[in-house]
Amino acid sequence: MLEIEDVHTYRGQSYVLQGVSMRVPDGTCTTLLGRNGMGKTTLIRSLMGLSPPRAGHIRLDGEELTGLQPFEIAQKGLGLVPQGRHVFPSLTVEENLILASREAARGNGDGGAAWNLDRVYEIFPNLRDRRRNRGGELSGGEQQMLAIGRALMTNPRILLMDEPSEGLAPVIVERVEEVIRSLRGQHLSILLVEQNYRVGVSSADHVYILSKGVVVWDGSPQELDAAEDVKHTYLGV
Amino acid sequence: MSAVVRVLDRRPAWLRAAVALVLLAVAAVIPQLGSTFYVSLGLNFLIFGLLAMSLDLIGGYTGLVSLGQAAFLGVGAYGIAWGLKQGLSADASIGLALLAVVVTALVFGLAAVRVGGITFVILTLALGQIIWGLAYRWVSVSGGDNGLPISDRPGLGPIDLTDSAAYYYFVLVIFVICVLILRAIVNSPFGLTLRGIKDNEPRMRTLGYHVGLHKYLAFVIAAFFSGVAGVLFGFFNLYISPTAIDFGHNGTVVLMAVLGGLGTLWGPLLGSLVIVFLQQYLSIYVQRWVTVQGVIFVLVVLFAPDGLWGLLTRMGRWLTKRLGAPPGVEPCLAERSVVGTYEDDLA
Repeated sequence: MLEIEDVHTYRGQSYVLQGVSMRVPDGTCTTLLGRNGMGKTTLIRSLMGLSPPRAGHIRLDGEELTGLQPFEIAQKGLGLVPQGRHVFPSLTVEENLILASREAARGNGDGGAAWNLDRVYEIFPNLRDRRRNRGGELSGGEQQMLAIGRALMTNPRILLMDEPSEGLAPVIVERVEEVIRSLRGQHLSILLVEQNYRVGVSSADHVYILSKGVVVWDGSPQELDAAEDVKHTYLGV
Repeated sequence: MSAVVRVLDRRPAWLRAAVALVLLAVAAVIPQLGSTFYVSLGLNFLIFGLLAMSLDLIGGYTGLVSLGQAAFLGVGAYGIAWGLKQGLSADASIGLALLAVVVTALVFGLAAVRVGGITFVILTLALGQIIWGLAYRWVSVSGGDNGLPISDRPGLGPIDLTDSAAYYYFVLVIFVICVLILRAIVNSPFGLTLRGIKDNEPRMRTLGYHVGLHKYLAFVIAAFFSGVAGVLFGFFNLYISPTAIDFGHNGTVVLMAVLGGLGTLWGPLLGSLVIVFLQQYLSIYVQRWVTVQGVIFVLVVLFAPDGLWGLLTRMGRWLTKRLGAPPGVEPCLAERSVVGTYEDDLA
C-alpha cells in the first residue's frame, strides 16, 4: 500500500501541495481528479522524488520514500507513466522497453507473471509491429501505449499514471481506459491522475479530488456520480 | 542490379565485414607505398581517430560534449615522458601514464558530470586548460614550454618499433582493438543506457537508473581511450609539449567529431580522416587551408547537421530508393515513411 501523509511541496516560490493525504491500497485503482493547476502533477513529482516534499511522509508498504533519490524510489517499485508520455525519441520501441526492464522490487503488485517484452506486446500488439521504429516516429496513441508498456516493464508495485488520456483521439482514450481496466482486473495497484472525469472514474475503486493543493473530497465513484455539487464546484462537470 | 540493391539495402553482416576488411587492407598497404609521409599521415589519422571516437562515447552517446578531451591525450603522453625521464621501464611508464589518465578522469569527472549542456562544455574546457596550464607552468615536471622528449619506442618482444612502418602496424593493431571495444560498449546495455540519458535524463531517473554514476563511468572510459591515444601519440612524436593540448587542439577534436557526425562512432573517425588530411596534406599546397577547413565545417553544419556520416547514410538511402528496391523486398525500416500521426490514431 502507498500512503501519502500530510505532504507539503513547493515549486520554486509557490506553495503547491498544502498537506495532502491519500492512500492507494493494494490491488486497487485509486484516482486523483482535479482541474488544471491544482497540484496533481506536483503530487506525482513528489512521489517520484523529482520535487521532494518539504514536509510529510510517503510510505510504500510502511517503508519511507521521502528523502530518497528518484532512481531509488523507482527501484523500490514506483513505475511512472509521465504526463506528455516522454518516450525516448531516438530509441526504437524495443529499446525503450528493454531499457525499462527490471526485476520486480518485491514481487509484482499484481502477483502474476513478471512483465516482459512478450507480455507487453500481447496487450499492445501495435507496439510489436512498430518495434523497430523510433519512439519519435510513433503517433500520440502509440507513444502512450509505449509509455505504459515501459512503466510495466519495470514491474512496479504501484503504477503511477499522469493524465494518460491527455491529447489523444477519443478512440485512443477508450483504448487507454480498456488497458487501465484490464490492469486493474489483474490486481495491479494503480494511482491514476486525471482531468478527464470519465476516464478517471470509469475504472476507479476510490476517487480523491484535489483543489488548490488539498484533498477536498474523497469517496467511491458511485458517491461522486451522485454528488452533483462536488462535481460542479471542483471539476466543472 | 536488383540483387545488388537488395544487398545494399539490407546491409548484411558479411557486407559490413567485407567493407571493414577492405578498409583494413587499405590501411595495411599504406607503409608499403614507401613514403614516410604517408606513414605519418596514417599514424595521425589512427591516433586522432581514436581520440575523436573516445569523445563520441561521452559527447555523441551520452550527450555531454567535452571540450577537454585532448587534455587526457596530454596526460597520457606526458605520463610516459615523465616515467621514462625518471628511469622507469617503458612498460611501467605506460602503466603509470594510463593510471594518471584514469585518476585525472576520476577527479575531473566528479565535477563534470554534475552539470549538463553548455555548463559541461565550459567546465571541461576549464579542466582541459588546467592540464594545459600545468604542462606550461609546472616546469620541473613537464619541462614547461620546451616540453619533454620521449627517449625511444619500446620494442615489442623481438619486434623493433623504432622503424616508423613497424610502429604504424603496432598502432593499427591497438587502434582496431580499441575500436572493437568501443563498438562493444556502445552496443551493450550500458551503451543503450547512455543513449537513454542523452534522450531524456529525468525519465531515466524515474526508470530507476543512477544517471550520475552512468555519466561518470562514460566520462572515465572515454578519458581512458583518449589516454591510450595519448600514449600512442607520445611514442609517435617522441616528444610532447603544451602546444599539443592547447585550446585549439581540444577544439579540433570536437570539430572532428561534429564534422563526422556525433553518436555514430564511425562519424568521428571519418571526421578525423578529413581534418587530418586537410591539416597534413592540403596545408602543403594551400596556404589558407584553415579557411578551407572552416568553409567545409560551415557547409556541413548548415546542410548536414548530422555530419558527414549522416550525409553518407542519407545519400545511400536515396540511391537505393532511386535505383528502386526490387519488388517483394521489404524496404529498410529506416527509409519507410513511418511517422505516426494523430490521424493514424483516428483510423
